[in-house]
This record gives sequence, structure tokens and C-alpha cells, in this order.
Amino acid sequence: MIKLENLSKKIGEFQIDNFNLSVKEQEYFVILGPTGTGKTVILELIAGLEKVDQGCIYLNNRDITNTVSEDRNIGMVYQDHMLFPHLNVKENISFGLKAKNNYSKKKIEELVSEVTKLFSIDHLLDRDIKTLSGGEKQRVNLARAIIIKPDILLFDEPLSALDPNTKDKLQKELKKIHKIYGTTTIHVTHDFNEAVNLADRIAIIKEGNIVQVGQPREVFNQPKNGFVAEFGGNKNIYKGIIKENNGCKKIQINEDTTFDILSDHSGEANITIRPENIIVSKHPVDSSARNVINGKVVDILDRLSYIELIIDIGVTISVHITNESLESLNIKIGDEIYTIFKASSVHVF
Amino acid sequence: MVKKAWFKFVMSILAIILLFFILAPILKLILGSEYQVMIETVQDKEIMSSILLTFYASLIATLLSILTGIPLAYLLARVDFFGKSVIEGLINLPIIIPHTAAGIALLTVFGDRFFLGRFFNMFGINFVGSFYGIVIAMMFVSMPFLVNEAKEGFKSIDERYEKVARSLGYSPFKTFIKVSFPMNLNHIISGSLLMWARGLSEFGAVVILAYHPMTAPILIYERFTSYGLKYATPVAAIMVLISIIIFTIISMINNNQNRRKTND
Repeated sequence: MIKLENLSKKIGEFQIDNFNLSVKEQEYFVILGPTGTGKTVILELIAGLEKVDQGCIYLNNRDITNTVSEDRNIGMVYQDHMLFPHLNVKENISFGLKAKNNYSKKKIEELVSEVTKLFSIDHLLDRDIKTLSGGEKQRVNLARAIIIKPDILLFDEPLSALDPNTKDKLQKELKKIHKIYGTTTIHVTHDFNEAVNLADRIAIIKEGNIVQVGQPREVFNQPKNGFVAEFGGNKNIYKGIIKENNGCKKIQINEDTTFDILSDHSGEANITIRPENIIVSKHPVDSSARNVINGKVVDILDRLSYIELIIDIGVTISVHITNESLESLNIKIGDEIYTIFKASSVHVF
Repeated sequence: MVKKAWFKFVMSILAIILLFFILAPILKLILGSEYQVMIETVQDKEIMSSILLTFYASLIATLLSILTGIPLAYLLARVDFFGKSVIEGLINLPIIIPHTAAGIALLTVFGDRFFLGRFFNMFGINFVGSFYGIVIAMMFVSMPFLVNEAKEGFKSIDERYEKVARSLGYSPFKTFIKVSFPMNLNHIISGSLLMWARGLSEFGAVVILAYHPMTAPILIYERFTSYGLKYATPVAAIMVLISIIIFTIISMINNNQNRRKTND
């Protein structure tokens, strides 16, 4: 378990103030935020590679704020692999085992063989670092950090420099490794999908402050504010005024547009509707969904794995449908169309 | 990119003028010496021991500078402290000032009249007119080449390599020995070679501290003033030949290093 308490640090332009974070034992925790928001600094503070200005860091209830990095047993994995160019693959991986001379040669061989098999890099042991591909380099990097059995693993955008295919594969491996070792992990990224795929919990960070913490689904479906919603790839963010009519709550977005909602809020509020939670139909349907709104297709965008429809229903709204639906409904730009979504699908914040 | 032919032509002409200016005297010096005289020179004990002395003294000066200059270079590359730019300027001072002035300055500190000189005297080390004098003169004037090269080398290493080593359980000292130093080895080697070669050629500072025992540059000067061109030329030719060999090695190492970088 790791706990950051009222952490403050200023480096040049960047600053975090009273930063608090608690990561549970064996948890895979993802810190998500735009690039250049000082996520790396937070990791380096945890690893003891930067000095804390103020505040405390606890590792398993032990205060490690002033413990030197080499005694913290925290593994650090950077984006640009940082493999030692003067050592080969095997020497890189076993590097941490040789720090304190408490492993026999045989034991080192054993541990290296175990971890390299896990990452399927056992055939690369004698290779020079420069001959490796990006994915291989990052695997060696991960192996080097994991082999010392750290209490905490810190990943600083470990997948960001990789091509999409390799990225996918490595993501799966990270999941597998976490399952096997159960090492408490803090993973920093700006990629929402990566975060959702890997995380037990996510913290969304903006300018050094945590905006929201929660399980991926929670953050995804109930964003606390527009920043989180937008970061989660949701374009359907609107502002309006909540009105009550015979016990039915509605939100008025503009003169012609109101949505039915379920909410305790009143007065001015923001709403989001996830594009996946909206369905479309060419005819008005009688449905339990309370919002059935007539609109016009403005644009059809092919996103490869799905189709994004941009529909004008008084406001522009983004709707995700499958390729099959697009074909079977025979939707074209300019078509009249009904958008249908439940009042409970409208998230108010 | 297409460049006009005349542009390349003019640039080449100007470049060739400079190359000719450098090459002509050196080639004349080496090729112009009579074969017979060269052989005699190589067999002359006084000349050969003087050349050996020069190489040896410069080697000791370089080793002493590695021991103290590498830590200095590392600190300058990694740590921000008050007065850092002053120190960086100070390191380059020996390159700028006249080397005879450097020799005089050293004499005032390492001579018998100052406590440093007297301190070393207690251990039987005398800097005036001795091997030690040659070493400190060479060290003073050629140390900047090593320190600057090593400093640039350390600067070019991403600090995160060291951070990774720390997180893997290495103390700052062990990190330096296992990561920073070996990663910078190429720069340290080429800086050392550069310093060593520069030390060999030192005349001004050495002549003030130690006319005797005679290093090669002083021997050349003495032969020239006492016996004339004919006797100075072969000694000069041999010194130049050896220097050429060293610099060829250095540039080979540098090329190798650059090739590695582009491979990354």
C-alpha cells in the first residue's frame, strides 16, 4: 500500500500542491492526464528520485519520505526504455540483482530465465540493446524492473512510444504480469483506452491536481466535470437549466431542446450522454426510453471499429453505432432520424 | 537540395587553401628530412630519452587529471550550484592565457617561496627544474581538454539512466561506477588522449618551470637556437610523426563513437 499525504513539489514551471493519493495493496492504479501535467514528477517523488518539498510518503504504513531511492525497493519504468547501452540484454535484466551482492550466480541465472520466459524474450539474452525493436526494448525494461520483486512498480507512459499493434500486445502482457506477481502498480498515461483496459482504479489529473478518482466505469459513465468527460472521449457535454414538471425533471439546453433526466440537481447544471448509450431509428418508436428526439444527420464518420453519427437535434450530438446498423438502417447525410436514449443515460454534474 | 555548381567550387577552393597551409609545412618537415639523419636522430640517446620523457610526463599529468578532473566534470554536468559558470570559465583560463605566464604563475606557487612548494619539498618533491615541474606545467595547460570533453559527455547522458540504477538499488557512488562512468567512457578516453597529446606539445609553461630535464619541444628549440635548422628538423619531424599517429587514433575513436550514436 502506498499513500501520499499533502505532497508539495515545485520544479521550474511545474507545481503540485497538497497532493493526496492512496493506492491499495495489489491494486493496478492508473493516473490519467494530458501530457506535461507533471505525472512523471509524482512517480519520481514516490521512487525517491526527486526530493519532496513538503508532505509525506508512506509505503506499507512506513514513512519513506526521507528514505534514499536505493532502499525503497520501488521499480521505475520509463517511456524511453532507458536500457544501459553498455550492457547486453542479460546484463541489463540482472542489473538490479547485482546491486547488493546478495544473489549467487546460479540464483541470478534462475531468476533471469524465469522472467525472460514470462516476457518471451529468453532468446534475446546475448543481444546488444541497439539491435532490439521498440517492443523488445520495453519488454527488457519491464523485466529489469520486475526481477527485483519491487514493492511498488511505477510505469511512466510505458506504452506511449510503441506502435498500436505492439502497444496492444504489451497491454495484455502487463495485465498478465500483474495477475502473476500482484505487484501494486501505479501507471501514468494520457491514453484513456489504456487506462480503462488496465486499471482497477483511475485518477484523472489536471495541472497537478486530482479531479476524479474511481473505477474505470464510474469515471467513464459519471464524469465529475467537463474535463473528465472530454478526456474520456465524450463530446456530448451540454449546459442547461433543470426544470421540474409534475415530478418529471427536464433540462433545457436551448430554446428548442430539452431532455428528460433523473437527478437530484436543480438550477444550472451540466450533462453528458455517452455516444454508445444512444440508439437511432428512422421512425419514432414507442419505447420506455424517455427521450425520443427528431434530428438530421449532419455527418457520418468511419472510426473503423464503429461509426460515429453527428446528428443535429437542436444541439449537435455524437452517436456511436455499428457498421451493421448503418447498413441495415441505410443512413445517409441529410436523413431525418430519431435519437433515443433513457433519462437515466443522461449524467448530470 | 540542388546547389549551384559555382557555390561548391568557391567553397572548395577556399577550403583547399587552408588545408594546403596546414599540410605543406608538415609534409615538408617529415618528407624533407634526410633519411640518414632521421636514423641518426632515432639512435641519438639524448633525443630519444627526451621524447620518452615528454610522453611519460604528459601521461602522468593526464592520469592525475583523470582522477580529479572526472569528478569535476561530473559535478559541472549534473549539479547546479552557485558560481558554477565562474568555475566553468576558470577551467578554460589555461587555454586563453599565454603559457609562459602560466609557467610563471605555477612557479610562484610551487617554487620555494610559497608554502605549497615548501610543503612538497618536505617529501623531497621539488618542482623547479625537475620531472614534477614538467608534469604540473603540462597538467595546468592541458587539463581543460579533458574536463570539457568529459563534461559534455556526462551532459549528453540522460539523467534517467542514473535514476533507473538508483531505483534498482544502486547507491550514488555505485551508480557512477556502473552507469555514468562506463556510459561516458568514449568521451573520457578521447578527452584523455586529447589532453595527453596537448601536453606533449607544451613549451611555454614547461620552459619556465623546468628547462632541464629537457622535453622534446625544448630540445627542438635548443637545437634550433644553438645548432640551426638542420639539427632541429629531424627531432621536430619525429615529434610531429608521433603526434599524427595519436590524432589519427583519436579521430578513429570519435568516428566510431558517432557511428554508435546514429545507430541508436
